[in-house]
Amino acid sequence: MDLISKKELLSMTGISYGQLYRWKRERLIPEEWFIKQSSYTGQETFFPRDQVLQRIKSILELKDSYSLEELAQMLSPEATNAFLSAQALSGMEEIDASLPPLLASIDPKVQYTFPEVVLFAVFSRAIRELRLSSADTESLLRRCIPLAEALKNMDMTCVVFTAGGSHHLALVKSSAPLQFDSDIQVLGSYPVSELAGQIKLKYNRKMAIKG
Amino acid sequence: MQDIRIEGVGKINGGDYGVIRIDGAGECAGDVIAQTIKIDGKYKCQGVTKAELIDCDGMATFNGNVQVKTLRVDGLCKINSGSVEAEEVDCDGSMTVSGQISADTLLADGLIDAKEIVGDRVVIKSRISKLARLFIKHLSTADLIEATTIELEGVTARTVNGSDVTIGPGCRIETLDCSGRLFIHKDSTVKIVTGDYTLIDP
Repeated sequence: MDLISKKELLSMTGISYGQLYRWKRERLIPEEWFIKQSSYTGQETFFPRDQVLQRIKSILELKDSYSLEELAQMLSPEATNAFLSAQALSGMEEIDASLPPLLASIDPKVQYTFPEVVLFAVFSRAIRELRLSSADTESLLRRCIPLAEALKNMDMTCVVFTAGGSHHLALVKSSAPLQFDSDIQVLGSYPVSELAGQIKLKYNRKMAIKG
Repeated sequence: MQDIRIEGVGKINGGDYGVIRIDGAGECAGDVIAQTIKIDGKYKCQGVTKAELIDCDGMATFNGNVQVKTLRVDGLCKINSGSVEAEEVDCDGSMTVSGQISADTLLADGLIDAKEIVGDRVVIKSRISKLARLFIKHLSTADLIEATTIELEGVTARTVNGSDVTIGPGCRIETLDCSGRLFIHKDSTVKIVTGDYTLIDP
């Protein structure tokens, strides 16, 4: 994992120690991202670079329009009870254009739950980057739909791999990556939490909350 | 919400309270959420504590994390296996924390002993009489103090990181990193200073 030191983070983003710790207390920056490593001066804290920079960017953009508590709720790794209509889903740029028609035939629904939307977004990223054929896409999608159930917590990584010629997809906890044997070829792994956070923020107003 | 007052010896199991007032000796066996916890006697809590205000004039021991808006310590406060998260900490007494104190503002005239003290503004000015100084060698100690603004007196720390740092008399610091204005009193020792700082002449 590409790490960034605390000092570098502060000078890059221009935030202060006070802000960093305030956001940590408000659970805007998860505690797991504070990675302590020993250095010549004793101990230093590092962060996962892409995740923390993206997160601080979103906090800085949104902190004037939302309270810290609202932000914490939006950015927290837990799934919300939100739903998105099938129509809104097809309008999302995070969703590959090939998915909505496929979904309509495999798993037709009027609205999709938040974990499903996130899963489809991760899935879209994977098929775009891996350039999967439409036959592979369809069979993989058919198999991975039930996985949305497992996406209660967004702190997961989605791993796409091939085994025996067919494509597979697995969700693993980001903190515990899987090690495969030599017959299995990992094609790509995609962190879920950032995408989930982005979707939560971007489509907040379009989602219907079911209490 | 229910209020509770312990004047003799009492025990509660935890839960949701309005005001918890300890004038005698009280113990809490589990997690507690309260508006105010006022300790004038002796109090011990075995769980996680969440409160708007904790005011400790007596002696309090928390064996778990403490999340509080304002923490005022005029007596003795010990957090054994946990950390403190607060908006404001005001310590004129003595505080011992095994983990981290994270507070927007921390003002201390008393003694603080913690693993890490972090926040926006950290001011620790530990002052005791000359006689007491014969017996107490280290006043306030911390492995790490990290905040935007830091003012220290009588503090022993391994690492101090901040934007504006004022090191008053009686401090012993191993490494200091400062990115703004820095003042070091002549009676204090700082072994290594790093960062892009401007030294202020005394």
